[in-house]
Amino acid sequence: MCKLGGHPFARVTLNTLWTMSVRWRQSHNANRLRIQKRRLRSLEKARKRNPLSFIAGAKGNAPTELRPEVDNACPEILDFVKCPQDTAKFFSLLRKRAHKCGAGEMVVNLRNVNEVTPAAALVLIAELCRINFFHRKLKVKVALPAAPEPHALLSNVGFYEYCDGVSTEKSVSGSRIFWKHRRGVDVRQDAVAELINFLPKLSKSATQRLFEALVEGMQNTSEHAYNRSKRSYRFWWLLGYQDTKTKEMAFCFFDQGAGIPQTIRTRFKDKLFLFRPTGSELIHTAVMEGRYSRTKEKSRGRGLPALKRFIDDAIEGELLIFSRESQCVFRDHGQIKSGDYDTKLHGTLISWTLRANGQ
Amino acid sequence: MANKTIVLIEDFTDAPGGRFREDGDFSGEQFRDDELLPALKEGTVTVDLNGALGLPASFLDESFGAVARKHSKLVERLTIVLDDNEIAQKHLSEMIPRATLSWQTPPTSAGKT
Repeated sequence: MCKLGGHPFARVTLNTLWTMSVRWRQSHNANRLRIQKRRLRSLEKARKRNPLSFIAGAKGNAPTELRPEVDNACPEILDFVKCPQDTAKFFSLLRKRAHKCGAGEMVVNLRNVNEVTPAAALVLIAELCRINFFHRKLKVKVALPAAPEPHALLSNVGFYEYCDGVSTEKSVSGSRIFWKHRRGVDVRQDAVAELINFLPKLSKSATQRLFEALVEGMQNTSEHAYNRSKRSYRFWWLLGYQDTKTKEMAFCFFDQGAGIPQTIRTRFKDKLFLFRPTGSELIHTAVMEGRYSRTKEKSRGRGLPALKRFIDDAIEGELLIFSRESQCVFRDHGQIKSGDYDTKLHGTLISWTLRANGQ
Repeated sequence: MANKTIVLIEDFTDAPGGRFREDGDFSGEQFRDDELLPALKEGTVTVDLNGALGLPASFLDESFGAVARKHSKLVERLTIVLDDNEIAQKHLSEMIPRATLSWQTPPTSAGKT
C-alpha cells in the first residue's frame, strides 16, 4: 500500500493504480507459465511421434532413415480422380517436409505405390523441381515403386532425371507411348506444336481446339498464376501420351501458382461471406459461361471456356481441373462432377483425356 | 489510300502465341504494333487468318480487340478473311463488329468470297 500523504483522493487513486499493476503482473506471469506448459506439451507429443528428429537435432542435421511422415503419407494410388484428397495430401506433405528438412536429407518413399496416373506423375515431377529450386542444399532420395507399372510410367515421363543414381532409360509400359514432359515459362507454342505432332492425326478443328486450349493455359499461367513481381519461379509443366491399343490420348498441364478460384474471385458478390461460392462452383461457372477474369475487363474471360471446347467435339472426352482445394471434372456428354476438399494442391492441374480420336 | 494484305501464316507466324510481348514470341501485342497498326494508319488492310494452327482468344483480343477499343475509327478500314475456324469467327464478331468480316459478307454475284 502506498504510504504517500496528501489529498485523500490522490491516495485512493495511487492505491488503485498500485493494485492494478500488481494484478496485471500476476496475470502476465500466469499467461507466460501457461504458454510454456503448452509448448512443453507439444514438444513431448512431437517427440513421441518422431523420436529420431530430436536425437538428430535441428535443421541441417536430419537423419537419413525414412521420415515417417512422408513414408506413411504415400498412398497406394496416386490419382486425382479416384483419390483426390489422399493424392493432394501426399504432395502437400512432401512440400512441408522439404521445408522442414532444410539443408539435410529427405526420402520420398514411392515403394507402396501400385497405381499412378500421368497427371499425378507430372505433379510429382513439378514438386521435385520446386524442391530442387528452393532447397538447393536438400538432398532428395527416392525409394522407387516396387510395382513394375508405376515404375515404367515414371521412367517414361522423365521423372527419374530428377533422381540421382537411377537409370533414365525408358521402360516398356505396355501400349502407352509417352511424350516426355516439358517444363517452360511464358507461352511456348513450339512445345504445343511438338505435342500435336506427336499425337495421332487429329481433325483440323480438334487440332485448333487443342492448340488454343494449351496456349490459353500457358497464357493464364504467365499472366495470372504467379506473382509477376517475382519473375524467377513461374514454371509450367506439360505432358502427353497416347495408347495405341485403346486409342486413348491424354495431355496434362500443371502450374504451381495461386490457383483459379483465388485469381478469379474478383467480383464483389463472390467475396461476400453469405453468397460466397465455393472454389469448384467458381471454376464451373467460369468454364461454362466465361467472362470471369482477374482483370474484370469486359473483353476478357475467354481463356477458361477454351479448355473445355476441346472435349466438346470428342466422342468420349473428359476434362479435369484441380486447383487449390477445388476439383471439377467435365465430360463431353454434359456430366459434371465437382468437389472441394480439406487438403489443397499447390497449383492448378488441367488434364484432358480423349477415348476416341476427336472428329 | 493504300490497300495492304497481311497473310498471318506467311507474314507473321502459323502458330500465334499469347497476349503480351513479355509472354513470349508472336504475341497479339507484337502483331498489333508491328504489323496491323502501321498498315491501318496507311490505308485499308485485309488480314487473312486462314491456315494457322489455332487462334487463341487472348491473341485475337490483344491484336484486334485492342485496336477496336483504342483506335475505333481505324477498324472500319479492316477486312478479316477467315474460313477454317468457327470459334475464332465468333470471337472476332464480338470483338470487332465494325470491321468487314468475310464470313458475314454475302458472296458477290461473280462468286467471289
